[in-house]
Amino acid sequence: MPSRRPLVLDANVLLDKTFMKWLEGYHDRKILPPIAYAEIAFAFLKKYDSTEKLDRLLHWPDIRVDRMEYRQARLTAEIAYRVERPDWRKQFRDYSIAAYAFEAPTILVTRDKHNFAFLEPRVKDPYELMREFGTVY
Amino acid sequence: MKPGRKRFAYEGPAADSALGSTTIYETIRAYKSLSGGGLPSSLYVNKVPVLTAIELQEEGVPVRLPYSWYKFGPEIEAPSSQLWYRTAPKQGGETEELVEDEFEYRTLVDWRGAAPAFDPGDRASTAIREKVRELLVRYMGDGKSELLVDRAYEFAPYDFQRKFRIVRIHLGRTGRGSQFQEMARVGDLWTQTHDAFQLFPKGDFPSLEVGAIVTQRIVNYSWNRLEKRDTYAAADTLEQFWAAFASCLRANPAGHSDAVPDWLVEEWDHLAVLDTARFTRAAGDMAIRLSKTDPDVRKDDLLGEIAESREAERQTADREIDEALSDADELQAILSSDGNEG
Repeated sequence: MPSRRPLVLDANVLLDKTFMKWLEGYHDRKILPPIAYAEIAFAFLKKYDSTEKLDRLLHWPDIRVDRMEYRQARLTAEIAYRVERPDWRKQFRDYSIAAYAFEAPTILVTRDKHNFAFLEPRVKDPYELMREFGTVY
Repeated sequence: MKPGRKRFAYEGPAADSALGSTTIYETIRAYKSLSGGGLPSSLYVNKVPVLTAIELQEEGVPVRLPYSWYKFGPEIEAPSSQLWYRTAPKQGGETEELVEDEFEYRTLVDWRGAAPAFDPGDRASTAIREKVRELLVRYMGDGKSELLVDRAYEFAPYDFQRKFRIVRIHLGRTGRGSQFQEMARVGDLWTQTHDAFQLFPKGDFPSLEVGAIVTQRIVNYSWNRLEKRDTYAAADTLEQFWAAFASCLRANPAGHSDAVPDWLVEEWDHLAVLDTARFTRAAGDMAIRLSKTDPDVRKDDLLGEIAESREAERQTADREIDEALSDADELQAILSSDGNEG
């Protein structure tokens, strides 16, 4: 079993029960970028008018919502600049998530791997990650 | 706002009247010059400035460099506005980053923007330039980078760090090319673990005192057994403990230089609590794992208790996750919508 790495999570992986239960036994830092939190929090607010369930969901696997510091803001711009896509403005959400996973050995976990191809091979689908790292027991 | 708390994410160029930035800049500049344009890895950018500051301090030239001791030795707290990190394929030799198979990457570092002012008439600036070059000449080249780490560890505040490094070298997590590599490789993991924990500074790290005992017991049960050794259990628990210790260490007054700002130490303090709690959960999972092949683990007063407590915690977690995601499909539909509801 390979050694664990810090994870950065995209919003779209948080609604999978199997993955969230697996994450509970994955012991390294697990970061949710602020923009990803905003997205998932919007979904919970719209459904329940509250984020209480979301708070509990994030609590058990020990997922932390990180801050947007100058460094991440700067990296977001740097990524946009270096990837050079013509639709860069539409990609800023993804770039701002990628900024948290920019340094090795952090792994970005998302269901939209193709949107983060510039981070390969440190981009994983949740099931790919679970297969690779297995479980402790 | 609490006193000492950083008010702004960006507070202008990291002007440093005490030459910290100059030391980092000179490391990158000299590395490029000596290598014919190559960029230094983060290992060099972390260790060379720290060694420069420490050695010049001993020679009576004070350099206020913000740095701390973390998982792989001393790390600088660099001005993020002036350093640019990039990932490059690993070329072998260094274990600063966690290296394994397809994850063979390392971080290269470059300087962005204007260079700090250099006054050739200033004794300290000249001493920094000379010391950086001296260190790089000594430690650049194939297989030499880890000797730089060896040298840095001579200044580690705790003997425990030096002893635990031997354990991690044995496990292949660090020290590729270290002068201690062969000695660590041929030694017995349990003996090395035991030797290290004999020096654990429990008075300075009371929150890890029980964790230190738990770690030793898990390594003992997984290593000293008639059945096939559970190397993963031993290695992972040691690494988890090291992560928690490193987190507590850098927040400890002995674990960072005086130039580290208070707001950052406060942040490290907060992270240390979280990292210690994570270690406890990881150790609980490992005790459960070991108990499946060795019933005696359940009879151990400490491991039996953490295994039981962790099992209860995981049951609660599973139940709460089920409850939180009882309407996962509807939440997914909201998340997937394009937001144009009219």
